[in-house]
Amino acid sequence: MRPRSIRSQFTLTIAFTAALAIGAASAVMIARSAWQARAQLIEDLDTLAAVIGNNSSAALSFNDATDAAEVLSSLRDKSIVRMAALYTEDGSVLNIYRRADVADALSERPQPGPAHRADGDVLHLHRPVMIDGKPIGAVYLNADLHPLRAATIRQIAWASLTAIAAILLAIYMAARLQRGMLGQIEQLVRMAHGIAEGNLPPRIAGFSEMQEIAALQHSFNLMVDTSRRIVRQAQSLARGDYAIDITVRSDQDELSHALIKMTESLKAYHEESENRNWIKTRLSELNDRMRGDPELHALLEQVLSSVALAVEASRAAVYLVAPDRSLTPAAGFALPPEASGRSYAWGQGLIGQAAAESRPIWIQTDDTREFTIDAGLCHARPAEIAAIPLLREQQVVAVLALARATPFRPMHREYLQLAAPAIAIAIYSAQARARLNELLEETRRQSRALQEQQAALHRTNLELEERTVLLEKQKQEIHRQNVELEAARLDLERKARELEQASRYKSEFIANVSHELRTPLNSLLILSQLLAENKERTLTPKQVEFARTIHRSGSSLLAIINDILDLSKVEAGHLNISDEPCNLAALLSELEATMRPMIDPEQVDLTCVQEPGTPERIQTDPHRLAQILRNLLSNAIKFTPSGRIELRVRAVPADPHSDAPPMLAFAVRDTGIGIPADQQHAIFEAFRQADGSTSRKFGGTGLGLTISRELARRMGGDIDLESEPGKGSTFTLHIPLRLPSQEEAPVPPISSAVEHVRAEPASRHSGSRSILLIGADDALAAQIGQTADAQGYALVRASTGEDGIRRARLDAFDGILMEVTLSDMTGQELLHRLKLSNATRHIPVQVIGLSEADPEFMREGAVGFLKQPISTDAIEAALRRFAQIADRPVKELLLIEDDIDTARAISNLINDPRVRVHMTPSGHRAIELLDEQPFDCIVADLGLADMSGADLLHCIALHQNGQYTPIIVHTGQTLTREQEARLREFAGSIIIKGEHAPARLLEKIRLFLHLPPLDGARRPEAEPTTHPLDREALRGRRILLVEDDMRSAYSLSAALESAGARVNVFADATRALEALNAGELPDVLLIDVQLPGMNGFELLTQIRAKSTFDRVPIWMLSAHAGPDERARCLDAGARDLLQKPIEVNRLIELIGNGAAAAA
Amino acid sequence: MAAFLYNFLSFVEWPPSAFLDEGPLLIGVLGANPFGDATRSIEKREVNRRPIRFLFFDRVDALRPTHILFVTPEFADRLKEVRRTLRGQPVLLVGESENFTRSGGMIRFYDIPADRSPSGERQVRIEINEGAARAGGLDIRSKLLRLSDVVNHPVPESDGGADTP
Repeated sequence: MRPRSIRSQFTLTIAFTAALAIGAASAVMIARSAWQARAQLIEDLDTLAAVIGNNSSAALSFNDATDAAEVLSSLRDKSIVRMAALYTEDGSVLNIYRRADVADALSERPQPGPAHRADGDVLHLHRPVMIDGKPIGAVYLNADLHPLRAATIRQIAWASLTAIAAILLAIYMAARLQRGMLGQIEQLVRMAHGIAEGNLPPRIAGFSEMQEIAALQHSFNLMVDTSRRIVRQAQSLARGDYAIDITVRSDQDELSHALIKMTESLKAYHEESENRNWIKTRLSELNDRMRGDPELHALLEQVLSSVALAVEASRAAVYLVAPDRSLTPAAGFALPPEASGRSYAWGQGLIGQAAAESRPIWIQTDDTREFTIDAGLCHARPAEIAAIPLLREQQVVAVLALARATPFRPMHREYLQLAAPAIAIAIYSAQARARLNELLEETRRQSRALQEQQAALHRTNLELEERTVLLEKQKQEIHRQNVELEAARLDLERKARELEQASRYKSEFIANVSHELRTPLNSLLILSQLLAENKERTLTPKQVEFARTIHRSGSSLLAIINDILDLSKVEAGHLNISDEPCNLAALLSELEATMRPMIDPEQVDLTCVQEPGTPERIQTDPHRLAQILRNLLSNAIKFTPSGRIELRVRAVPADPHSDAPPMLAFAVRDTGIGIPADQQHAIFEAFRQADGSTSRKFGGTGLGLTISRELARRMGGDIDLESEPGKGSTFTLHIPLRLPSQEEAPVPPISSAVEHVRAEPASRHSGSRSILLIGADDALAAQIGQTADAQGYALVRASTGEDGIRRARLDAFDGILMEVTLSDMTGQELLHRLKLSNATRHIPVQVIGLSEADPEFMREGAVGFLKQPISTDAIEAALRRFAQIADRPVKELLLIEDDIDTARAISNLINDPRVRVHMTPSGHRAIELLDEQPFDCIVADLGLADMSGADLLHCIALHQNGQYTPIIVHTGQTLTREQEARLREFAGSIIIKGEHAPARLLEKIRLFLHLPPLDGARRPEAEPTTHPLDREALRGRRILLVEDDMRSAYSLSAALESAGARVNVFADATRALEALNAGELPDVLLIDVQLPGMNGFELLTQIRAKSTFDRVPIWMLSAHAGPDERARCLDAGARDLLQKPIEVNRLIELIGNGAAAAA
Repeated sequence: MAAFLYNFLSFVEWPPSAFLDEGPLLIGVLGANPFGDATRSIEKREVNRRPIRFLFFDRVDALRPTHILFVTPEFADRLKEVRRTLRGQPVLLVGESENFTRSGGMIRFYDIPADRSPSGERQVRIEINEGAARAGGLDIRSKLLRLSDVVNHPVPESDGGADTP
C-alpha cells in the first residue's frame, strides 16, 4: 500500500464521516416517512372500502346494480382511486367504477378476506362486505401510488443537497487546522532523514509554539549531541587508545554502558591474543623438537629442555609409567646430583598422586616459611611446583614435574596443558616403536620354527593317504557282501511266492482230486447198490452183505472227501462268513426237522429247548451256525445208540472282566459213550478221534469237529467240551449275538414301523403269513410294513437280490415283493433266479417298478405289478393277491387242446394232486369256463377246430376280468416271427410241441401255478437211495450214453439196463455223432459235459441242430454243475443238467417220464 | 325471489315481541308454493344465529303469525281478510300483485323487463309502503329504502282497524 500524506488522510476521513452520518440519517428518515405515508394510504383506502361496503350492503343483498353504481360514484372526489368494484356473494361483478382517465379491464377476483398488495404503481385492496357477520359480497379498490412516490423522491433530493454542503464545510475546516502543524512536522522529518543518512544536522534553534512539537524538537537536539559523542569515542578507539571518555547520563543510558563494555572487551581481547601467539609459537617449537621419530631417551631430553625453557622453569624432570605402574625418572633438566633417580609407586608422592588423579597438580609454596617438598628436584624453595600427568587416550604415559622460582603465569599453565597430550603421544609412539622392533624380531624367530613344523606335517599326510587306500578296499568288500545279501533276499522272496503258489496248487489239487475221487466213487456206489439189491438173485446173502459194506464204505469215503474240501477251504481262509439276522426259532425248528429222521425214536429222545431270555434274532451267519449245530447233533446221534440228546440254547450275558460281548450258548448234550479226558483235546484236531477204533465202529473222519471249531472261531465264538466216558458229552457252542464286526456292519437302518413288524414272532411258526420285500427304500418299506402289519402279514426285508434269494430259500414266504432296480442285480435276473430254483419257484412274486408293467416279468412268472408311487390300496390289493394264491391249495388249470391224446399226456405229465386240470377241446367252451370260474393258468393249443389261436387269445384276454392269468401257448405249428410277436402280447410262454416240450411245459405250469416242489423239503443229494429199482420202468427204451469215464459209463448203463433199457455207450462225442448220423435213433440221450475232444455242449448243440433229433430228450451229466452251466444246457435244448454222482432211481424216473411225455 | 324474502330478514326490524324472541325466523307462504325447492336451500341458512323455517298456508283462516308472509297473487284480493286475521301481529306482508301496496301490503316485487330497464337487463324492483310497514310496527332500514321505490299509500281500514304502533 502506497503511504498517503496525513493531510489527505485527514481530509478524506472527515469528508467520509460527514457523508456517512448525514446519508444514513436521511435514508432512515425518508424510508420511515415513505412507509408511514403508504400505511396511512392503505388505512385510508381500507376505511373507504369499509364505508363503501357498508353503503352497498343493501344493494348487494338485493343485487341492485343501480344503487351500487350510485354508491361507487361517491369515489369521484378521491382522485387517488383509479378503479373500484363491487362483487356479489357468488363472485360476479355487481358494478364497476373507473376514474375518468382509466380504461383498464377488471382483472381482480374477489378475495375471501381483507387483503392488499402493491403491483407497481398500483395498489389493489379487497375488503369483504358483511351483514350479520356473514359475507354477502366484496369491495375492490384500485389506488394510484404515483403521488406517494413523488413525495419520496422530493425528500431524497433535499437530503442529498444537505449532505453535500456538510461535506464541503468539513473539508474546509480540516484544511485550516493542518496548515500550521504540518509545516513543523515536515522539518523534523527532514532532520531525522539527515541523521539516518549519517549527516548530523545542526541543532534546532527556534522551538515551535505547539507543546508536543517543541518537546519533539528538544529531544532531537539531545539525540544529535549523543551521536557526536559516540563518534568521538570510536575515533579514539580506532587510534588504539583504550581510555574511556564517556559520561553515563542515566541508568538507562545503555549506549554509554555498551560503549564502556566494548572498550574493555577490546582491551582484554588484545592482551589475550598476544598470549595466544606466545603459546602457539612455543607449541610449534616443541613439535619441531619432537619431529623425526627420535629414540625415546633423546625425545625426552629434547622435550624436557624445550618445555622447561618455555615456561622458564628452574628444574624439570620426566617420570615414565612402567608396566607395573611405578613411575621411574627418565630425563631431567638442570637437576642437581642429589635429586636423581628415585622411583615412585602409583599414588605415592606428588608424582604418583598426579598420575593417580590423571590431572595436573599445582602447588604454590609460601615464601615466609621454610618449607620444602620432596618433589624429586631439590629442597629449594620454589614458588610453585607442578606435576602434570601426560595422558594418551585417558592412560597416563608419563608425569612431567616442573619447578619455578615464581608462580606459573596462566599462559604457562595453558601452554603446559596444551603441550601435555602432544608429548604423551610422542612418548607413546616412541615406546610403541621400540616394542614393534622387539616384536619383529620375535616373529622372525617364530617363522623359522613354523617351517620346521610344516615339514613334519607333510610326512604325516603321506602316512594318512596310505591308510585311506586300505579303507577303500574294505568298503568295496562290504558292498560286495551287500549284493550277495540282496540276492539272497530276492531268492527268499521268490521262494515265499513259490510257497504261496504251492499252497494254491495244493488247494486246487485237493479240489481236483476230490472230483477225481468222486467220479469212480460214484460208479462204486451205484454198482454196489445194484449188487446189494441182488435182483437176479444170483448172490449169496454173504455176497449181498459184502456189496452193502462196499456201498457203506463208499458213502463214508464221499463224506470224508466233502469234509476234506471244507477243511481245506477253512484253512485257506476262503471261507466267507456272512453277517445277517438269523431267526433262532426258525433255525432250531429246521435243525430238528433235519436231524429227527436220522434217529430211531424208540431208542433216542431228541429235544430242542430255547431258554427264556434268549433273543429272537441274532446277527451272524445262519448257514454256518446251522452247519456247526448239525455237525454237533449228528456227532451226538452217532455216539448215542440209545438215550437222550438235547440241544439247549441260553443267553450268556456280557462279561465285564474279560471284555467278552453278550453270547449265546448252544449246548448239545448226549448220554452217549463219552470221551476220556486225555482225548478231549485231540478230538478237535484234524483226522483224530477219541479212539482209533471209533471210526471203524461209527464211521466218519473226525473232521467235523475240527471244521466246526474253525467255523465257530471265525464267527467270534468257540466250542467247549465236557465229557465223562460212559455218561455222555456236552459240546457247547458259544457265539456272540452279533458278529465281531470287520467293520461293525450294522443291519440296514429301518423305520420303526418295520422294526415293529420284525419284532413279530417268526411267521412260519406263529402260523401267520409273511411277505419278503426285496429292495425298496426305508420309506417304501415302512409304508408296506404298516399295511402288511394291518393285514396280519409279517414283513421281512432283504436289501439285495442275493440276500433276497437266500431268505426266500430259508423261509416259506407267502409272497415276494421285489423292486425292479436292485443294487446287485436287475429285477429280471432276480425273478429268473427265483423261478429257476425249486426252493423258491412256487412263491408268488409281485414286482414294484416306476414304469408300466413290463410283460417280460409276467412271462417270467410274476403275478402282479405295482407302479410307484404306491398307494395303500395297491399294497392291500397285492397282499390279497398273495392270499388268494396261498388260500387255494388246489390250483385250477385250463387246458385247451383238441387232440385228446395230447391232453391226456399233459394231464398225466402234471400228475399233481394240487392241480385240477380242466380239459376242453373247444375254444368257445373255454371262454364259457373262464366266465364261470377263475383259473390260475391256461394252456392253449392254437390249432383249434372252432377258433383260430389269435382269436382265442384275444377272447381270453377280454374275459380276464382284470386279472392276469398266465397263458402258455402249446402248439404244433411252426410260427413266423410276426406270429410269435403277436402271440407274445398275450401269452406268458410259447412252447412248440416237440420231444423236449413236455418238460418245459411242466416247468412253466409249475412256475405259473406257484407250486412248491412236491417232496417239500430239499433232499440231501448225496444220500444213497435204498428204493428198489423199477425193473420195468425203462423197458424197451433205447438210451445213448456218451461218457468217457468207463467206470461211470459201466455202472450207469448197468443200472439203466437193470431197469429194462437198452444202453449204447460211446466214449467220445465224435463217435456218438457218427453213430447218430449213421441212423442210430435213441429214445433218450445222456451226455457227459466233460468229454475229451468235442465237449458235451458242442455235441448237444450239434445234435439239436439236426431236425431228426429235435424230439429226443437229452440229459446232461456233470461232476460239478453250476447254475450257469445248467442255464446253458437248458438254453441249448437239454432237458436238465444232472449232478454226479447220479441218483439212479431219479434218473430212471426222469427218463421214464420224459420219454413217456415225448411219445 | 325466495332469496329476497330471506334478505328482508336482514333489512327489517321487528318489534321485540314474545313470539319472535327465540326460535326460528318464520316465513309464511299463503297459497301454492311458488318458490319450489329454493325454500329448502334458504332453510339451511340462518340470520343472527336463528334458523329459518318456511310455513305454507292454503287457507286464510289457517294463518299463524310469521315474520314474513308472502301472499301469492291467488290470495291478493283477500289481503284485507289476511290483515284482519293477523291483526296486531308485526308481520311483513310481501306480495307481487300490482295493487298489493295499495291494499295494505308492505313490500311488493315487480319485474322491469329488459327493454325498459336502464341496465338493459331484466330487473326486479321493490316497492315499499313505508307507512303500512310502520303501521304494522315494522322498521325498514334506510339501505333497503334507498334501493326501493317508496310509496305511501294510505292503509285501508280493515275490520276493526289497524292498531296504532
